[in-house]
Amino acid sequence: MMVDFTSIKRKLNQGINLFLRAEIKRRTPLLSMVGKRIAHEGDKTSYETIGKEEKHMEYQKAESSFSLTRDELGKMTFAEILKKVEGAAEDMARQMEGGAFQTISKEVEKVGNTIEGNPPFSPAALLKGLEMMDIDFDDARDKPQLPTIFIHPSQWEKIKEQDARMTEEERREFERNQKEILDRKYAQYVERESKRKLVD
Amino acid sequence: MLKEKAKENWWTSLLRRLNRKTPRPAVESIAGSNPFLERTIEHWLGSVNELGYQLPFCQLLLSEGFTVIHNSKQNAFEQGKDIIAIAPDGVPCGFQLKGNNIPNKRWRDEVKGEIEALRDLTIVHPSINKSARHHSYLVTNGELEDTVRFEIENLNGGKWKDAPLLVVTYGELLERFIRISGGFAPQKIKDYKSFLDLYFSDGRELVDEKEFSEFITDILRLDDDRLSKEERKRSISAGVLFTGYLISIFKKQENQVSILQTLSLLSAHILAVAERYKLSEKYWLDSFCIVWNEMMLAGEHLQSEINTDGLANVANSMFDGDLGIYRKNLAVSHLLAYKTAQLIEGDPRWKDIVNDAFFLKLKDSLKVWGEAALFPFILVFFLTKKVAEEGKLAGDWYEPIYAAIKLILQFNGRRSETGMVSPYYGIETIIKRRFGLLEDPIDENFSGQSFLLGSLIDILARNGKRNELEAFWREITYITQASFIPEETWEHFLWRSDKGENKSIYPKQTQSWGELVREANRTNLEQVPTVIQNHPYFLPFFLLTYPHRITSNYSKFLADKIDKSV
Repeated sequence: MMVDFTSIKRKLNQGINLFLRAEIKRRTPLLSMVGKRIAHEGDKTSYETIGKEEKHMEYQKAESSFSLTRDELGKMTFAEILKKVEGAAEDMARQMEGGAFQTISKEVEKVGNTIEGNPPFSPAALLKGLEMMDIDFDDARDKPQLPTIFIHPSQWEKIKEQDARMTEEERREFERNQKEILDRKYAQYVERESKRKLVD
Repeated sequence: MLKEKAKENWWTSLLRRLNRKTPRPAVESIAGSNPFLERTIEHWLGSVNELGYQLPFCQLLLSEGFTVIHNSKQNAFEQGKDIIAIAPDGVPCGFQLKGNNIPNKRWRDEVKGEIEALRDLTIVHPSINKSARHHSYLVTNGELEDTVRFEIENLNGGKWKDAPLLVVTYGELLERFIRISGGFAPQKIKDYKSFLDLYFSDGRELVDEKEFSEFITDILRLDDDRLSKEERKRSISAGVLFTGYLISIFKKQENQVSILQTLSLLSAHILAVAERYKLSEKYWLDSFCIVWNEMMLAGEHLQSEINTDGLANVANSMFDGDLGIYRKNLAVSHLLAYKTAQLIEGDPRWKDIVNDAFFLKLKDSLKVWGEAALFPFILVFFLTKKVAEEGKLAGDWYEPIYAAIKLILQFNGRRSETGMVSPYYGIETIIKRRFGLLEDPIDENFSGQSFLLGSLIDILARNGKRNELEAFWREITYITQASFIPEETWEHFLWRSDKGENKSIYPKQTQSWGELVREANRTNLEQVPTVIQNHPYFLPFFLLTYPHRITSNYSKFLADKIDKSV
């Protein structure tokens, strides 16, 4: 075996792992928004919902690989390796983010929290969605913690067009309805919060 | 066989006259053994003082069939005897341990008087018949100067004829250590490398818990289910011996925290063997007890260091403006575990730190660097409450618990962004993160969860603090209580367990106080390893060293034991 620079290679490998993680994070907006927890040991994970229902979480594997020919091994530059790693990150991010959306969809279906008929996105559908969910506030009516909407870029273009077509009257109507919903949601929030207490 | 070649000759005589160190007697290798291991043991034995080889020597005696009944280096009880043991033939034996060579002057000024006490004073111990004549041993990891040797020989032939002094010097000691270590030496080259890495690491630092755990798991052959019970006993002996060699690096630096940390890891792994293979105590308790004794000695030294302004004099480099507080934190945390262990054991000295002056020292030392750092808050509470119950302390002794809850609500509550790190991250990781020295950044969010909150809630509920808890309850309901439950009880003692469940539980939003109090007073003993139930005094050190094992159930068990302690 020819003399080698194994410790430098180990450091480079560490760097590549960090790069891979950063690239996956960049490509998984949903997962990056929620708190990330690491299972440092064990083979199972369970959690209780706020409704005290125990749920077991299945681990899902996300993996990707790339292969190099013997010829490539000696010729690839570090920049080219990073390009390959980017591809693997894209692949893994798709699996992870897709898996997350699938899990959410399954859970949402299970509790019936979907809008009937699956209508196309519209201001009315948006208000209907708001109406169906619990909304938290940061202790004040003017501080609602509104949900984040995930949409496909092509849908986003349609929404922008729809928004541009709205008349002033429609816009005022939408805002009035939204305010009414949030008023109700705030009242529900206050009631929910009043239940966070010790009783006899 | 090993053979001493230490008689004075022209060369050693010349060296001595030139005031150079006398070379150690060479040893011939034991056939079939590991020469690297032998050289390491040789290096170890040649570089420690008597405190450095006391623990391995006790284990050596146990392995040779002695029963060790007393082991101390600073107790008035000593009567010239550091170790009292009963030989396999039933004869009581007293051992006086010395470090390094014993030249004539040292013999006259220091050793001879102690040897006379060792020989002449009857062993007073409940396990020993007062009328039985004991054997007296002078043990040193050095050599006796010829004049000393001649004097002992003369005394043994005359004045001491009825009970001659037996002498064990370097060569014999080395041979016995090598013989006893050889059978359970590290099995793989990788593990031998780990041993050397640990042995040659910086004795001023903490031990690498992961590396030590892997090493000791191998020495104890924890995963080898083919061993007989006698072989298990021998593997435990080897574990104690090898750890004894390793902690000598900390002893040289008087680094009591790392001695306690390493011995806690060793003890936990011995308990893992005992629990996993359902060993009766005759196979492991003697070894466990000498380790425990060593931990108590380290605790005593730590207390003495802190009492003599050790915390105030912590700074030894320009970085201690930032790092000193972490060092103090480790020292005080281990002292608290030591005192709580004494309390559970029923040792009345547990309360000798619980006074106002000590709490002033504490105030500046309990830095919260992560959730693991909150466990000492619980220990402070247990100790002060116990003293307060005796009417000897004024003030609100629940303050540490309130403070810990407030910190969790502030840093891990609904408005937090990243949160206080979980007990899976140690103090060194946190210091490295603070100064940007982490190679692998912490890529985890701790907001909205806590490993310690459940324990703190239970303490308040057990003590009827409804109003105080009520004030926190709304914010508490936003935080999931996290824990890890290993699949089997022996796996609690593993540094990381492959099998087990990570659990997250939300507290009830509307919680019945009565139900909370009932739950807080109910300990699930199925989740507490039998060996811990039988030896609960180890629990404070175990949870301090393994903060990721802290659960509400363990805290309740600890509280039960403290409540019942006298």
